[in-house]
Amino acid sequence: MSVNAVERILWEFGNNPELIGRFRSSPDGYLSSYHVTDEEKRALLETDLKALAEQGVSTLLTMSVWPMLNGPEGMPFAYLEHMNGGELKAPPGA
Amino acid sequence: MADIVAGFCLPHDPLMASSPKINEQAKADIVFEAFEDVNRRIQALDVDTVIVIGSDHYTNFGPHCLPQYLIAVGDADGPVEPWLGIERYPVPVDTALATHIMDFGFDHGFDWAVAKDITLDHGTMIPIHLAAKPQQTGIKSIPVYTAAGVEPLLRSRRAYEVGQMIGKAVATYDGATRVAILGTGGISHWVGTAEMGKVNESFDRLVLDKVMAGDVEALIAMSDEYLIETAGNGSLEIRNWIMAMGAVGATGAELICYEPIPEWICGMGVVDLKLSA
Repeated sequence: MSVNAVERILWEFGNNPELIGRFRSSPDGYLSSYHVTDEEKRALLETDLKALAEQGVSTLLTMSVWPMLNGPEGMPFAYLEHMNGGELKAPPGA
Repeated sequence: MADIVAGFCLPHDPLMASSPKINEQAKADIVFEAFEDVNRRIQALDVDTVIVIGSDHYTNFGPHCLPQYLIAVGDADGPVEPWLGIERYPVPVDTALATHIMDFGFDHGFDWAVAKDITLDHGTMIPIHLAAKPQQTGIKSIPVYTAAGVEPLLRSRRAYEVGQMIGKAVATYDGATRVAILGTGGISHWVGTAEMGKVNESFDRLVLDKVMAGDVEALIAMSDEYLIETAGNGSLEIRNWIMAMGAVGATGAELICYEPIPEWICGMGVVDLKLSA
């Protein structure tokens, strides 16, 4: 199942961040050994974790991998903005 | 014979360590003081070992292997997350009692997953570090991990049964060990979802009321769908509280503190469980 494969990819990123570099240097080659769909490839390439979460990927993984893909300074607000479709009405503690 | 002399339910919020300073510092300080209170109560009861029930967060376990419930019986250290700001250190494990609980489970229909050597995540390390304080107290730990955050989820009924089994196992242990149970996590929180930062105080107080009434069946009856919809995916961790209630045979509880803290993305509840006679 694709969700399982995406969860594996994200989990492996989280446990071995060096893999992110390999993925970025050759996305098609990297993903060729995983059972992912074209849409999932797009979402991974564009860091569209919202789309992946909507497909059932664990948000524990999307949250933990986001700062590895986009930089820790984006947590939590940029991440939440992304997960809310580009709008963050009520950030935590505001 | 070993004795369970105390039981507590409390959060394992990683932001307590990584973001201890927040805008609503008075609320944070109440929670920190509650953890200190738990530590004082544990020490006053001469507790030797804490059994710490926490969730895996897709950190220790991955898609290749997802235990329903796991006991650590060998070496442990933690935390695994550098961003917590806690320097990783060896956590003393009560290997003899942990092995007894493992074997007792195997002999009574509970097929534990087992960790012989594990680096703990915040799900057990926060309560160990802030409530048991092994570096200062020498108190040993027995980490127990549950599938309370990653599907397939441990059924709440089974969590209760595992807790009951832990209680029976401790009671049949030959050593004169004084044990405290820490059920950790919750209460309402949305982890990694678009709603992260939301807290449902009315739900949290409902859970606390049920715990204080010793009404574990009401907690078991809360479906996963209801929990996710009402109190976020993080509220699924109340099965850790249920397991703790099963272990001590909780007949009620004393509320130590409750604070809804959106900056810590969590409703923070701490209770001292009343043990069955």
